[in-house]
Amino acid sequence: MRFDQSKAWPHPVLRPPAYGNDYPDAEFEADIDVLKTPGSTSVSVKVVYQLSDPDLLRLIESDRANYVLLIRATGTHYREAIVSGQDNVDQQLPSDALLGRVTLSPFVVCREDVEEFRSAGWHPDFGTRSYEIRRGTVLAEDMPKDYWIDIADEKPLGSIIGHKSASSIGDGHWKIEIDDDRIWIVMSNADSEQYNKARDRVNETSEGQYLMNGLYLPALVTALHKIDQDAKGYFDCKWFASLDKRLEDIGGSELGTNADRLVDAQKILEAPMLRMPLFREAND
Amino acid sequence: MWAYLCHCECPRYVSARWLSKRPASDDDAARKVVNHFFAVGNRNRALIRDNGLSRLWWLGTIAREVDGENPRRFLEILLHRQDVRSALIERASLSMNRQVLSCIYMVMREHWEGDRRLFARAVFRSWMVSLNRVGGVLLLDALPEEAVVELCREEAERALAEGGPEGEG
Repeated sequence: MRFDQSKAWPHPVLRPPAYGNDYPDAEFEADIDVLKTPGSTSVSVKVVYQLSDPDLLRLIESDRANYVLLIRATGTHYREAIVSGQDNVDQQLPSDALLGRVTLSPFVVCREDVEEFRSAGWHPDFGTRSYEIRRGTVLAEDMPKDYWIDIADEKPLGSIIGHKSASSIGDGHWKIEIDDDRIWIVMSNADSEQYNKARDRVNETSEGQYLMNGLYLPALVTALHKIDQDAKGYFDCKWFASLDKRLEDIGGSELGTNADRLVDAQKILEAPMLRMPLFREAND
Repeated sequence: MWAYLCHCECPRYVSARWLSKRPASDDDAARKVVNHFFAVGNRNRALIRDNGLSRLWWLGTIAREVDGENPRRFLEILLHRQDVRSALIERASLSMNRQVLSCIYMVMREHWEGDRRLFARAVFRSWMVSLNRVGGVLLLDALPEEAVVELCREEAERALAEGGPEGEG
């Protein structure tokens, strides 16, 4: 069941205020935390449900309704509903169950038939009506939340910044492209060949640090500035959460703010200037 | 991987299955090659429906998961008519929800071993429509298996009561 903003339910459903006012004074919200184990796809999900309608709360307390978190990962074809009578849920998911985009949809669902359901919190338009509710019926829903689970999340920046060639670019120049998968350093075909040869030697020689300073640092600064200008537009990109987490780790401002990204990029790349051979030699 | 298998391991099968009829135009030929030799566009649709080999693998995987004791029986029931396969397998929301698919299959099996009136084209379509409608209001994932089977049975009975031709259409 997908969240449909304009869905017309045959009975009153408590939804986010922007998408319906069947319950004008009540709210249903789920605070979801997805915690990843570094370097693996093992994930635990913590949810705190906040429900304010007394009649719906009574149904849950009397075990006639449940909180449900529907987890779907299309990449692994994983699908599971975590059903609970508690407003606080902490569940470990099987390793490798989730990869790529994961959608978490919170609901309140009736767990048995209710013959004459009504709530004092309904909009006056419903008058004194009551509804026959079948078990499984959705009584409340919150907006689904998307997360990206990627085993590359914890790897160096190479998982976020990639390199490709384009014949439209002249030799000696390069530019940045940002798409769903990666932030790309794009250069001419000839330069790209040279770059690949140079990169093959990165681990053999300390001069590899010049690539870090000459390409990766300006690429990251440029990309961060671009993303800051349209963070909402980039929010669904695969790398977004990972990059935002890196900024958080180094004490930087979250994406979408007017921060000094030159400083942030140097922190993320762990002060690359100091690793350049000329600098190191000068210090020796 | 699927593109490799279609090109290098089983090109004769994929060609015979999808390119045996003369294409209507160059565009039509190109479209068939792209659709069935590659796995492009919507990932699930490409995997489940379009790629010449992955669609077979997907069907086999579901058959093993849904009727582990007798996957051939699952295939016999599902593949006996194109609309049955399309309704259950090619709809990603359903074929990726193994619990609900298993429950639907359980009821299909009961009717397959009975008078098979449920498989009359109009009745089957009506059943699928009503399950789709019910699935829009009830969160089937939150129900225990026996409740979903019961619901599928009820909707099957309703579709049969509403009519449609006798026997398989």
